[in-house]
Amino acid sequence: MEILKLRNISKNYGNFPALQNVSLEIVSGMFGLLGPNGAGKTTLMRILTTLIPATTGKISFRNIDWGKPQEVRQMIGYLPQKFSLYKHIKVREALNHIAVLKGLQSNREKLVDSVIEKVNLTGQKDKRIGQLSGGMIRRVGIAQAILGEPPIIIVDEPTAGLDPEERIRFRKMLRQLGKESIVIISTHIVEDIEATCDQAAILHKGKLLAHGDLNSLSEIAKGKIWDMSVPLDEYYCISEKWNVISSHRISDMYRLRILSDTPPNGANPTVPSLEDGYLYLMECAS
Amino acid sequence: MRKITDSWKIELVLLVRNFWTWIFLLLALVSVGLQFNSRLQLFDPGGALISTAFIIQGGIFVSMILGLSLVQRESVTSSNEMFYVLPNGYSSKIVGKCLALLTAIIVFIILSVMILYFLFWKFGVPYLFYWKSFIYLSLYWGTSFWISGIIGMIIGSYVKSRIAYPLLVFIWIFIGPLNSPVIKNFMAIFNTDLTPIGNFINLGQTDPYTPYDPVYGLPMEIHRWLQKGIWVISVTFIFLTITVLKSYRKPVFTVLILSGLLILNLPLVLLFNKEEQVIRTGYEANAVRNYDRNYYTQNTKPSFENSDSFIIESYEIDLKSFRNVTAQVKIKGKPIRTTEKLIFTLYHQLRIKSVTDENNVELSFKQVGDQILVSFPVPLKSNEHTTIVFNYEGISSPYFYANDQAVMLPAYFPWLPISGSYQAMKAEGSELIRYPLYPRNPTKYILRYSGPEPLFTNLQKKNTSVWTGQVPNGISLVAGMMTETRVGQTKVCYPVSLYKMIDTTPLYLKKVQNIAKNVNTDLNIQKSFDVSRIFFLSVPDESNLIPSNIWNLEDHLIIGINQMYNEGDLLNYDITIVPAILSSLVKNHNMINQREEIKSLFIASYAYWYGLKHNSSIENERPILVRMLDYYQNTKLNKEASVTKEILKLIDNNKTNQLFLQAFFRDWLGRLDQNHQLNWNDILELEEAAKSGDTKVTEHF
Repeated sequence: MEILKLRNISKNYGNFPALQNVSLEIVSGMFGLLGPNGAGKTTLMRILTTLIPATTGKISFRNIDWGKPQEVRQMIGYLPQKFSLYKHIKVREALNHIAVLKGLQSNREKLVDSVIEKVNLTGQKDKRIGQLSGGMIRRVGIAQAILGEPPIIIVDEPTAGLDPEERIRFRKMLRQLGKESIVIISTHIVEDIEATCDQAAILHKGKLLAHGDLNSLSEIAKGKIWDMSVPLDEYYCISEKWNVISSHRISDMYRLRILSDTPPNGANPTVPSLEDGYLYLMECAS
Repeated sequence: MRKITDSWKIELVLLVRNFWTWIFLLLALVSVGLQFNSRLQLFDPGGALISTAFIIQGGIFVSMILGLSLVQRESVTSSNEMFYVLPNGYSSKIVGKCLALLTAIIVFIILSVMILYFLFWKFGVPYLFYWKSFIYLSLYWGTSFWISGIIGMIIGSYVKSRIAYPLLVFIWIFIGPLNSPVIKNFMAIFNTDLTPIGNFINLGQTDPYTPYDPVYGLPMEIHRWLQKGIWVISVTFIFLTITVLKSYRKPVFTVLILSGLLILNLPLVLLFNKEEQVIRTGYEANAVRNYDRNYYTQNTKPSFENSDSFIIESYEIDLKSFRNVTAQVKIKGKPIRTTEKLIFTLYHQLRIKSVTDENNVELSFKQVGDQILVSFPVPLKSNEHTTIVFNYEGISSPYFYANDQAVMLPAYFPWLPISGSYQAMKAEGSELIRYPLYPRNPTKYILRYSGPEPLFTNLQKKNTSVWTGQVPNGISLVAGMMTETRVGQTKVCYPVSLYKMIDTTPLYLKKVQNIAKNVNTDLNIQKSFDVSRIFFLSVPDESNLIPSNIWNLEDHLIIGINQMYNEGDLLNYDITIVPAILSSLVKNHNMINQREEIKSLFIASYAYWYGLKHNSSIENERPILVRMLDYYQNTKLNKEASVTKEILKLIDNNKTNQLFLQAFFRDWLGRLDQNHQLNWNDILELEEAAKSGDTKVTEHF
């Protein structure tokens, strides 16, 4: 099994430590980086994509060290959060250009056509980028990332700005990719991780709080999550007293999910989700 | 390589598919075409190019913006990080962008050249201009736009915000022809000469207002190529360093590139700093309009007392005109009297390196200003044949230049050592007077020349690089944008750009011969006016008061022209011919000491009488003498005005009395041809004497 190893990765911007001693081992499949804004996700992604060097630490994959960025770049497909391409260029032209830049020589046109098909853009391949919707551009982004079948695919905020339908389609696509490569996604949307990833790491203020499979991350909040239903008029009173992490209105009642070490009156323990684990870790960290 | 060519292709596709590219291109080509056309309608092909200095300024800005937009294209489309993560993606894209910039510049220049060539063809411009204009556009447009584009890219690589635009505007002001008025203000504030810096950072021409010089041609000295070379290498390497640093993060590469920058630039910088005559037309201290005027305003007298004690019989000249002038001149002659010191005159910027005798024995010498004092260990005997060899090198006068581009060394300018102690020029008010500084006797010459070709001279060509002959009044050399033709019996050397003027030359020659004959008869001047060899040269005017654009050197004439002579029939402008011919006939050694305004009054008075006598005045055109009177009256120069008025009255009152006026002018000329410097009272006395019938008639020259 191929493993992407991160050892004691730190990154300082002047005196500000953006990342502190992050060590991870990422295996094939989908891997999520979860954390609030400023947690260091983007910094870690930029280090992984060789956009910036780490201040200290070591990253390696297949005996290739991140100190040799040109070699690393041969193995990486990257879709940044904000992505578009030249609006006057057609989809096929753009992907063909990227294929050339990736050094794909033989069967380039076939490869391009196959990724276009994979991301379901066959009907749009002769359209200019400027004529595509946001979701379609995102799919072009994925198409360029997977061109040449890189072993590591890095996707920053994969579903940002997509409508619900596009979001579901996009998650499905990512899931497919995870069967063949290491796919690392960075997001602050827990649902994205839950829907796509096998493993995840949670970052907060540059520190790695936890990592592992989604179940183990959920389990962190075991015995701390409580479920209760309250009438509408009691909701504000309860929410001031307890840490309500979600609420759903069901007819004239609110069903609340509460994070607490001790059970509120009338509440029942419930099985924690990844979001619960994440929120619990955030609360502990702050 | 494939990555680079594909990146290049994509950049070009993007440019071609951008609506604004076509709008800008169209607007630029229309303005270029209009600018070219406006000058070509005036039959000024050189001006058509030189007047594009402001187009260069605009082009520099557009190139900077193009460079900026090319390099920021990925940031704008949020794809920069994606390309950066591709192996060699960033560097391939950058090289592709540079090639796209270059392609855009080349395409623009080719289209401009096509417009220019079409207009050249339409206006019948000589073929030499086709080639020269291409080189000019490569130097001032091509390299300038490339440098500006790369500067735009450098700024775009670092400044992602909108601050990039004001920053570019700031840089733009200083790196184009527009910098001269801005720098002038800085110079006034800081009281320091910033023109060398201003000239160096100016990617366009140094003076956007300068008219085209038909002999010198388009300013493309080696110095200017070196300046552009240093710029091109510097900005390209700096941008390369930025690219490599961003792409590979290996400081060793940066060190290697910066070393390459130094290695490539060092020879250019060394060559750049070597002495070269560059014709500056701006306001700097060494500019054409300033240098000699300032020098001769401060240096009015020769350093040594005059002693014309040496008769030069022959010159053997090895002349090299490249970036400056180097010469070895062997002079053979004999002293008039026994002497151990001889004085020669040579333009002061031509620095003597050694003086030797015929046995190559060093002679001691002292060069001060325009004079050289040569001392001999043993006194030279009277009439003893002597050989002196001068080795010198330097920069000629900005008016009479010699460099890699052009040569214009008229016989009357002391670019060769001549016997005696003189100033090469005399600054008088705003005028800069030249003296007839050439040997006064027929002298043999052997000239071996290397420099701009073809060379035109009044000597006979022996082979590709040697000219010989015996001439009465020195030799004139000219090379540059010149050509030669025959008009009847006359060999005419003229600037290629005056292709229309040459058609009016036959009539002009006929006129000048006729007028010269009349003038000689009226004033009893014995000097010949030989029109067998004529040089039309862009020598500067010597007088603000009278036309004095002819130098009569007996075996050849030098006729001062400028590019305006190509439009209409300025050459045959009657009102200027008589004074010009007369001034050429009275330019002799003895009249050096006379004041220019007195000489001008004489010439203008005679021209006035000539106009009346031959009924050749032009309708609605005020005679020069009347204009001089107006000038003196308007400037409250009362004495001058009253004398001029008296002369005018005298001529008007005696216009039918040909003999009287002939005697009057001959007397006046006789007095001018003496060592005594005439003043306004002398002229008044002369006029009084004429009225009372007391005139002396003498034979002149």
